This record gives sequence, C-alpha cells and structure tokens, in this order.
Amino acid sequence: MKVSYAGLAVVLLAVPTGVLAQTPTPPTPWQFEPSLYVLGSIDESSDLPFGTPALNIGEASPAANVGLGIDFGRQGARGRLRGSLFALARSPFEGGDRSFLGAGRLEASKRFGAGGRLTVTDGFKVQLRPQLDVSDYWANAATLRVEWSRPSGRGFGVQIADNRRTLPELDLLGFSRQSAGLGIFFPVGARGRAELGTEVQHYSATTASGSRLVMGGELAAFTRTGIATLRLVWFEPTADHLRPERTTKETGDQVEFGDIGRAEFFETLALQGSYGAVLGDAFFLDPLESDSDEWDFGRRKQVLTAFVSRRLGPRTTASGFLRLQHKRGPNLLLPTVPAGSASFADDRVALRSALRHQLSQRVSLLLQGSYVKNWSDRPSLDFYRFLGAFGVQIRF
Amino acid sequence: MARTGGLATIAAALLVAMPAPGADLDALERPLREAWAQRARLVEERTRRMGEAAALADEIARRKDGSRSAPRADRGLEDALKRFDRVAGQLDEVDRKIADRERAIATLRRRFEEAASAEASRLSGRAKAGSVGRVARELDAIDQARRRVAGLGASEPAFRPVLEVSRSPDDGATEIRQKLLLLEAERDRVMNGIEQADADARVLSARILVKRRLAAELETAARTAGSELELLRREAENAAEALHDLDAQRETSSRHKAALVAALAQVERRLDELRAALGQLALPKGDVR
Repeated sequence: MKVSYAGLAVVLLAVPTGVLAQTPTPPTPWQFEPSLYVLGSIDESSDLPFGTPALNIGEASPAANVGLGIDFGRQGARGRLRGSLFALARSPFEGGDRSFLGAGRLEASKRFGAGGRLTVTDGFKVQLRPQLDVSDYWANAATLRVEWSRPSGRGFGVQIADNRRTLPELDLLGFSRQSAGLGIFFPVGARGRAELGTEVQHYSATTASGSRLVMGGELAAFTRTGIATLRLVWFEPTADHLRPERTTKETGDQVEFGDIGRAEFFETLALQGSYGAVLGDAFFLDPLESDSDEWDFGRRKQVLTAFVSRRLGPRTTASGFLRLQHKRGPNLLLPTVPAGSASFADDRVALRSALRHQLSQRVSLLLQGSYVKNWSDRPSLDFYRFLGAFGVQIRF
Repeated sequence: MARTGGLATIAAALLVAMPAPGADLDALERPLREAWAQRARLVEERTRRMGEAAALADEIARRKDGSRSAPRADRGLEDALKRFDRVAGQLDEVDRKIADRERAIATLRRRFEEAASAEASRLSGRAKAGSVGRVARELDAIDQARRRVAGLGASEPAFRPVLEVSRSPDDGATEIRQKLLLLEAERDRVMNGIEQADADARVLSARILVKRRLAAELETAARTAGSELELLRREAENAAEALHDLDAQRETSSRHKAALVAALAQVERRLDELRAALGQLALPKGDVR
C-alpha cells in the first residue's frame, strides 16, 4: 500500500508554531516558479538498459529532450514546505524512442524546542514509454527524520524511510525497502563537519526478502572557495530468505535496470537547474536513492563517495561527483541450483560533472556528463555507460 | 586502634566537605553568573565586529545598487562580498557562541530554580519542627539568591525609551529652556540610535546576501550530489534556517528603527511646542500678534 506522505507533509507545516516560536514573522505567500528545459543528449553504452537480454534495444543518441518544471514553496516562522514537479519528454519527435519521465518532490520541515528539527520528504518518479512497456516503472521514497543539535553543531538524529519501486513488465526488479537509522554529527575544526551513522534495512522483493546493516561515516569541508565531502559506507547482509519458486534464469546476471540511471541523470540535471526558484534561492533535497543498481540485496557492498563543488564567479557553478563501489555476494534474482547464485564480485566507478552558467536573470546554460564503468568476473556485467546533456533552462 | 583513627579522619573530612545549607544554590549561582559574564563579553565582541563590518556593508550596498546595470560593478560586488564573507563568518561564530551561552543560561537557571524550590520546601518542613528563626534566615537567603539571579542580565545595554517631556502650565522661561536642552539631548540620542539602526541594517543586508549565496550553493550541491551525502543536506538546511533567522532579525531591526523614527517625530513636535512657548514668554506683555 502506498502511503500518502505528501499529505503528511502538508499537515506537518500546518501545525501551529506554538509558544516556542522565537521569530513571529508571518508566513510568506505561496511562491510558484515554472521553468522550461530544452536539452540535447548523447547516450553511449554497452549495457542492457532494460535489464533483460531479451530486449537488446539501445537509447536514441543524439536525442532531443524537452522538460517542464514547476517549483513551489512557502516559509513560516518555524517551518517550511517546498516542492517541485518535473516532466520530461525524451526524443519527443521519434515515435519508437519517445518516452516520458515525471518526477516530484515535497519536503516539509519544522523546528521545535531548542535545536530540534522534524523533516518529512517524499519523492516519486515515473517513466512511461508507449512503444516499449518494459521500460515503464515508478519509484517512491519517503523519509521522516528528527534531529536535535546544539549551536556548536553537535547533535544526533533518527530517521525512518520507505523506498519502493515497481516495474510492471519486469516484476522481479521491483522491491520495497524500509529502514531505520540513527547518526551523530559534530564539527571538525572551524570549517569541517563529520557524521557517523548506522541503519537497519529490511527489504522485500519477488525472489527474496531479508535485512542488512548499513554503517557509514562522512567528512565534509565547507570553505569559502568551495565544498568537498567524502563518505564511506559499508552494507552488510544480515539475513536473506530466498523464495526459490520465484527465481528465474530469464534475467541472467542482469541485476540492474539501466534506464532508471538515465532518468536519474536528467532529473539531477533539471533539479540542479532549479536552484533559486523559490524561497530566496533555497530549494529542497533529493530523497530518492535512484541508483539503477539498487537491486543488490544479499550482497556485501562498500561504497566511497566524493563530491566537490565550486563557484566559478558570480554566475557559474561547477561540481564533480565520484562513486567507487565494490560488491560481492550472490545474485538473489537467480535460483540457488544450479550455481547461478554463487558469490561473484563486481566493481564500479561512476563519475559525474556538472556546470551551470546563468546567462541572464531568466536563462541558464546547463551542461552535465556522466560516465559509469562496471567490471565483473561475470562478463555480462562488464559494461560502460556515458551520458551527456547540454541545454538551457528558461524561467518564467 | 590505627584503623579507628583512620575512620575518624575520613568521617571528619566528610563532615568538613559536607555542604552547608544553601551551598548547592551558591554552586549553581556561580556558573550562572559566569555564563552571563561570558555572554556579555560575546555581545560586546559582536558589537565590535558589527562596527568593523559596517564599512564593508556600506560598500556592498553601494555596489549592489550599481550592479543592476553594469557587469563591471557586478564583479566589484563579488570582490566586496568575498571580503565581507570573512567578517560574516566571524559574526556567525559569535552569534553561535551567544546562542550556546543562552542555552546554557536557560538550563542553569532552570536547575537553580528547581534547587531553590526544593530547598525552600525542605526548610518549610523543618520550620514546623522548630528552629523557626534559623529557617527564616535561610529562606531569606534563598530569596536574595533568587533576586540576584533574576537580576542577572537586567543591566543589558538597551535603547532607553525616549523621555516624555512637555510644557507644564506653570513653566517659566528657565524651566522651558531646561526642558529644551533635555529634549535636544534626547533628539541627538534618538538620531544616533537611528544611525546605528541603519548601520546594523546594512550589515544585516550584507550578511543576508552572503548567506543567501551560501545557502543556494549548498542546496545546489546537496541536490547534485544526491541523498547519499548527509552532511551536505544538513548544512544546506542549517544555512536556510540561518538565512531565515537573519531575515527575522532584519524585520526586528526595521521595527526598532520605525519606532525610533516615530519617537524622533514626537521629540521634534515637543521641541517646536517648547520653542513656541518660549517665544511667547519672551514677548512683552500685552503684545498681541
């Protein structure tokens, strides 16, 4: 059952601020800012974008993309509500390749007491491809987070989350995942921050269910010249229960659905371009873990993530993202007998860089490229993927 | 025997170390007093830094007006903002420390009140069992401690309300002249206050500008990096909240300035009235105009 987290977020902001309000400023009026995106893209890859060897169909490249977005928000004395809706038509003039992506985000946060903050986020995405139903999917991620922090920057937080995705034509790759975690955070020097956290995840999918433990640490520096952050996370399976009658050989070794990664690429590009849209340049955060290889339950995984961002003058921002990943373990999509589900390893490097330049008050140039390379001792998981996009965002 | 002597020594040491009545309150009052003193020092530091920031804020305000049309002025604004960024960071740090002290003061104050109430209840119970005089003295000591604690922070420098000075029917020329002098001093004080409010508003505006850019940069970074990077998300939220708090401060400052402007108008009216009254007194009797 899909819970309406969006409704919950609205109710949260509507709660009276109470006697603890320190700044009784009246709420701002609702703000809405629509945008139009026109993007060209290049897509080169050697993977199976739809997660099945039965469909060896590539993506159109080069391709045109047209998107529409609207950002909205409202700020109160002790809370705020922000959201966004985004729709993109990929290859709108090519009947066979035409596809539609929709994404939406909503975030509501409220401060309480001295140093408390409650945040609810919900994000969804849906993809439809009229000529190729197999690529259809939807995904939703909702998070409820409570944090307490001191003015010094020390604090702790707890959170619960629900992530799920459904692929009507590839039922095996769907899943739902619930998690609960806690973390502590503290300053490191004048400009540094650190966090240590742990999380327990429970998953349920067609072929298996189980749980895993996630432990992570993060270090970040926020200097006058830029932002740099580094995160190391360890995923450790704790219990996996295979449903042998539901496993299949049809998917081969393919555990990922590359088309989700493509959708995420455009989504990131568009949302990055929407900064400054509402509430004095502030927008919302990405609650979706939309990795195309999210279906990796039952495998031990180590992930190192690094991100740097720098402002290059008053109108230009550049950023770079690196993800290194090592996984080992069985593919729980495959039957236990024969040895299809034997442990295997794969390594991945993912790079993404983005540049945004504001041409005028309403027009911005967007440029983004990403490269993913996967190595594995199973040949079908050796692939690369390159995506590039260049275009403009026009705000109204 | 030696063992008995050792125990006696320990017992004596414990008796000496045992707190006298009210010692708990003293022990709670001292850190509270110290926290207030630290806060006062921080507030002074903040005032000093605001003064340092004022010149840069003026430059930013000028360049901001100019940058709407000229790209070169835009670059100048960028340079000025970079220079201001360091000062803004220091002001943020002082604000953070003040908030930290205020939080500590609130906690200490609560503990003190709880301890004072508990002690007063205990003493009230003892009064029923006798030794009323001693209990009364100790209760009085608690009341005094409470008054001292309540008075902490009451001497904070704040803008004193403008004196209400007007002409009385029996005022002579001397009294009116004295009142004029008093009101002129008040007018100067209010004008200084307005000037200070303007300077503070310019510093706040520059801080908001710098913070808004930082918040935008963090939000963009948080979105671009995705949900994996938790610190980016939190820092972006903190920056957005700090921005909101600065906006609220600007709103308060603006209301304060509006009150001062209204007070200045009132003082000017009273001055005009008194000058007119003095003029009438200076006229020869029977001279009607």
